Amino acid sequence: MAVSWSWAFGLEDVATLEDMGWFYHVSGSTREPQTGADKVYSYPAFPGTKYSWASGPVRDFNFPAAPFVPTGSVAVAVKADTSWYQSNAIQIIGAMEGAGTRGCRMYCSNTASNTITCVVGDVVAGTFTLTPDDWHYLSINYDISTTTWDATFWANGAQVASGSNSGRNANTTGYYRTGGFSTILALNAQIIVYDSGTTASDAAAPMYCTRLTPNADTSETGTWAPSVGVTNIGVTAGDPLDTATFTQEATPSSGDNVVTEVNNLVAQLGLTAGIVRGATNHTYSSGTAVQAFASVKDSGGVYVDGDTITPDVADTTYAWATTATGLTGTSTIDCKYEIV
Amino acid sequence: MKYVYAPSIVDSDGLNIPAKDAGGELVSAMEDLVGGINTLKFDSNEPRYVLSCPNEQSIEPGWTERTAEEVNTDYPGLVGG
Repeated sequence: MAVSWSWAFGLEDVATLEDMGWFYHVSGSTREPQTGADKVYSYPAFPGTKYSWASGPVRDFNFPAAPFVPTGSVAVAVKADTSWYQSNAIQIIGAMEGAGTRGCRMYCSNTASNTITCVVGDVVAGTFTLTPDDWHYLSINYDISTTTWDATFWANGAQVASGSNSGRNANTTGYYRTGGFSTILALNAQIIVYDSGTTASDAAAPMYCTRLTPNADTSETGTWAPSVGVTNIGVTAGDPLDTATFTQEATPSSGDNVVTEVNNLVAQLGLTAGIVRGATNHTYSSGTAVQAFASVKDSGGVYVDGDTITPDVADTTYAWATTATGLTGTSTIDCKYEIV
Repeated sequence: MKYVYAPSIVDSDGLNIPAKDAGGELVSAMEDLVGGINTLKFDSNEPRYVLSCPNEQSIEPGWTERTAEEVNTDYPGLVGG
């Protein structure tokens, strides 16, 4: 089993998220992070502040395309204020193909009866009901990598439908689409993407995804200069992402890197987690004539490197890495950014 | 639990959806579907859906209710297979 990407919403706004690879289909209405007891997917012991992405009707969006897997599972925590928005075009969650317009998806087909329809390609796989004003953990296990698509659909840990559709595109790319699925306010708290080695039932089991903040500098290779103060965490560990603060290597060379760590996991979670399925390191950078990658590991393990990216000077470029190896509820998690 | 054959039409988005007869014309039956329905088969040759439905699902005009044995006669092994 392996988590391949995870994300918990924070205080980033639309412009920042778009710069990182999110895509918002419709402007206007509500599109912002919100917090409060009825707005977040959390647990009583959590000591910090969580956020959800709040979107008005039809204000749907795509997560960044880079973390998409053509075979695997996607799991989200969602809540519809008052009632579901009835539309075939608005996905509560969809794993969509990159080259075409189809996907494996869930949408509301009847607001009055709270009926949700599951679709594989261009065929209806089944229906189920979902109450508004409650948090729900939805998961789709899918394979759109061949011309015959297969999917199973899960709600709050139970399978609700399954289906298959032949004659489709064999995909290597795609994206996850959600948002705008309430007549009043749609809430998205988090997303977890699992690779094909994860069983559908494991991926469907509700899990909290929590944003962590590195709390100590671990090491650096090269000379990294914080834009303010003397620590790397002082300028890179902010929530939300703030491009006004950063740490910088003025004369970067291959192998230069900066590492920060989370060494107080229990304190940040408010408990010792019984299961930690993965950790994703999210980085954002700009630069000239360099390439770089993000990396992450349990302090006792081996780094897992993300894909290499080419940052530019016009804006920030998103790079990420996920590890699912060796993590426990008391792990120290090392987060690295390295020049290629 | 009941088994039904529901005719299918293609909606404006290209999705094959269960339909119902409205005065001799097939129209969408999506809003008539209750939760708990499973598609056993989409038969593109007819075209029609073979649905497993909870008992509260109404039989819409143009739909045909079938027993498990009748479904298995048309589609061997589809129910309980």
